[in-house]
Amino acid sequence: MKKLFKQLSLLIGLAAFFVFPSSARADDTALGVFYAALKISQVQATRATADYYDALGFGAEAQRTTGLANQLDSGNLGGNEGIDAFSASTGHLVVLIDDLRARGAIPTQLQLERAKAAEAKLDSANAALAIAVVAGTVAALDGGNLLEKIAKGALLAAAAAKMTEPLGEARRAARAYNNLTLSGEPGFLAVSSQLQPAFKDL
Amino acid sequence: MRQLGSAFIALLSMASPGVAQDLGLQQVKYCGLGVQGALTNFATSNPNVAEIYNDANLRQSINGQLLAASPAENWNINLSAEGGGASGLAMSHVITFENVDPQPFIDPRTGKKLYNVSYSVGINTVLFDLNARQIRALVPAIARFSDLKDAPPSASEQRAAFDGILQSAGTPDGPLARWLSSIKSLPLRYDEQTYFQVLPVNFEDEVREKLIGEPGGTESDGAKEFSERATTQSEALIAMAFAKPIVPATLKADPISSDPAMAGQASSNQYVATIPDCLGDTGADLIMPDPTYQLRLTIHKLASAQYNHEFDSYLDSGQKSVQQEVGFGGRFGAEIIAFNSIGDSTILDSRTFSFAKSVRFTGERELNSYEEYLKLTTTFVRELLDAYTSQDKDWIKAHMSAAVTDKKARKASRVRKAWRELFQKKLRIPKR
Repeated sequence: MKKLFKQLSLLIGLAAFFVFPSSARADDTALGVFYAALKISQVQATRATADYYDALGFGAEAQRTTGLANQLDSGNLGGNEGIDAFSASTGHLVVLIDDLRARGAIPTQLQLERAKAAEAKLDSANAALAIAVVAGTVAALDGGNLLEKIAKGALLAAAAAKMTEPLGEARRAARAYNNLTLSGEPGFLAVSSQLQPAFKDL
Repeated sequence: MRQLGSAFIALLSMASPGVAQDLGLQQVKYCGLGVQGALTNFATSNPNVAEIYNDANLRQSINGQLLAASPAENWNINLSAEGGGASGLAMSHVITFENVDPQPFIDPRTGKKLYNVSYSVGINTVLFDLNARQIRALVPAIARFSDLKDAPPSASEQRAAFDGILQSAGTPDGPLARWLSSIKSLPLRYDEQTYFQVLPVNFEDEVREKLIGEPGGTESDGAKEFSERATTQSEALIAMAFAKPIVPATLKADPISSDPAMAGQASSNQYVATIPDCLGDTGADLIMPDPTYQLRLTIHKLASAQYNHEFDSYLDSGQKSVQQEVGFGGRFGAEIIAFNSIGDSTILDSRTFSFAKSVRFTGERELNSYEEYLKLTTTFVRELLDAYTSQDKDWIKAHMSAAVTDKKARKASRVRKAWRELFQKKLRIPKR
């Protein structure tokens, strides 16, 4: 989150040294692309999450998350509400995958195939998010004075970042799931940043 | 292309029995299954596999499946039931151990207690000279199989599981088929000149006491068993990572000897195996070659820690759930040694690393720290061997121990350069 905000702020800061011709139309277009790309990212990532639930055998969650994806797609869940619902769904999925990994669960071939399809959706969600970030940067740089640009940049960066974190978590869990192999791996994960200090003296 | 090449060699061999020799392939007699040590001793600690092994008809059937599934492009030997002849060479799959590990857990979908039962069988692929009783190559590996049950497995279920494992050579994705596919990817050679050995994993006193105190460890054998299991698994890992045969550390070695000269030493070059189809029904002595290089692993410290992650509940809106993260870490010393039989072995590389991993879960779980530390050790060895072969600078940097205070010794680029010289140029380990 900090990194993304930093990148956007840096771009905005750099823009202060340049004067670009701007127009209200260009601003609207960039903002339109930003929100459209963000929506695609949300819908795709939510569908991927539903697929993962399905692959893991959690039917009720899969159904519920598919419903959420449909609502997002048809525009019934707007703004933060949609992102929060996605974030909670992803968090739950991540915890379930961690649980499965901790006990050394072994996915079947069918589950792995479903997970592979779901991961492709996560990839496209990530690509859409990248487009949203670029469009958001352009929108922030178009029009207004420097302070307005910074304020708009911060707003858009925050909207994108709310999506970045859960999507990153979902991708981490997806990788962990795909690495559950038949070789009897112990199901270890990388130590979280919160726990790392406990091992700094080793 | 490789398949075409293989088919070409097979056609040539059919045309003339002598051609195989011309292509550098040696005829080798396949001796089927064997067991490590004398059969009576083996049966005491490996009852399921011993029962299957003692059924002569079943054993012959398994031998037939193994022989049919064995031809490998990477080997310079031709296996056959009659084989041997002038070369005097023979090969056996020697079973070293069986293990059943029922891991209880609560299924988050139903809240029911289930068991993830992990079965493993250690198998050494041994190529040896029938007349001189000299081992030419030995590749250890572990075949695994997991099953989900709602109760710990009964004796008959365990027997059925091992039966299934040992008869799975011809089953796609079966445990033995996967094991064979790994072994066949290695260049098993009758004329190998370079052998690796993993010295018995040893500990500092503090670690030994910790292992004895952990569940699963007892005063008499906790640390010793830990060393044996970690060493056996490291042997399988190094065979795969370095694609070289192994000189196994013998079971007589004492990793926690009070005599410092004995700690972490391999005891002899004798390998005892029962291979009825070629060497009779009693344990036969085979001579192992001297190792060329050795890996010595020392565990200096072990530590564990816990952190609770809070997150929003998906199913109960507004509620918080807690995910526990339990981490296990260690400080590991790793040395690569050039072995010299007259006693002046040279340490070629010596490093100390820190290594930690964690498991995350919600609710209750029965974590066995002893098993987790064992898994941590083998996971460390796996990553270390990968880092040796890839000379991964990031891995070196991320795992440099806090105990290494010398600035030059801490520099990842220097370590990478030294490893490139050692593993690529001197030891000729293929880079990944």
